Amino acid sequence: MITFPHSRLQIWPHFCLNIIDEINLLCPGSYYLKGSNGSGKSSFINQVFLPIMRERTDLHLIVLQQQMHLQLYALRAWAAIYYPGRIVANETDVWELLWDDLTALKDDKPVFVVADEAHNIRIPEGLTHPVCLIYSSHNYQIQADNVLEFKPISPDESELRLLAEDALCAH
Amino acid sequence: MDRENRYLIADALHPLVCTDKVRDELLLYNIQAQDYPKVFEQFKLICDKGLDVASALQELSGGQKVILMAILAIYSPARRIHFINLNRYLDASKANALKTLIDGSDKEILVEEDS
Repeated sequence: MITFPHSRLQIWPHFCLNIIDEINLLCPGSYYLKGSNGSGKSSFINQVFLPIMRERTDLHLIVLQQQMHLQLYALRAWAAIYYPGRIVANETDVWELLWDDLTALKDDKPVFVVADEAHNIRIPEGLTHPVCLIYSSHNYQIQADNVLEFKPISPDESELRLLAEDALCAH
Repeated sequence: MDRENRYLIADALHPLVCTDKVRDELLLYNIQAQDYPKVFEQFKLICDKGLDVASALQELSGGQKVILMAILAIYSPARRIHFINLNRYLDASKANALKTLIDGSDKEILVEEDS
């Protein structure tokens, strides 16, 4: 479990995120990051969540970046060495490549998947690893157990809340 | 293709070229200095966020980068613009605001989604 306590985080010089409710990310679990453009979803992922997760050695982390053209180039280069002949042309190819690489590992560590502005997420069936999915998207949604809402209260500040269970039905 | 018929391609999959300050993108798009205030005003109108030449591009969200790209393209000297994947990263209200801006432009603009 990853916990983010109630806190006020100065993420950028001109942007602050208030974590109103203590956030506990459970694995397995799924979390939809909801919020308008500029509400702090990506800042939370990149400036708060990922720095913590990259320090953890007891889990695996798959990150699909928001505007992923640079990641695409990097993974093409990596695949050319470790998966010669494999085509890595788009987000779906990146996704499948990372999963295939992960499932070749012989451990059972939990997997945290972070997809900032996801477009095509399919968690493979029959995995031995428990999976926690954290994703945002403006035009694509899959079933999520929890909704984390980022709500701007001013141009320089947003609030982060865990929506109540009954709100899940309405989202 | 005839040089006169070329389009400025603005693809939301990679909205910004530079990584430091807004000034760099303004120069890249050949925006005239007297038009800077118009760019910032338009951005403020759509995003409710203030910008200036020294603003850090990395502090913009993905959607805000796309909106900045679109505004820069519209205020650039390009007469023809080809927007690609413009709505991919935008919530509905921002997408509508951007559509209004595009519709009000006298440039020749193509909008293509899901390339």
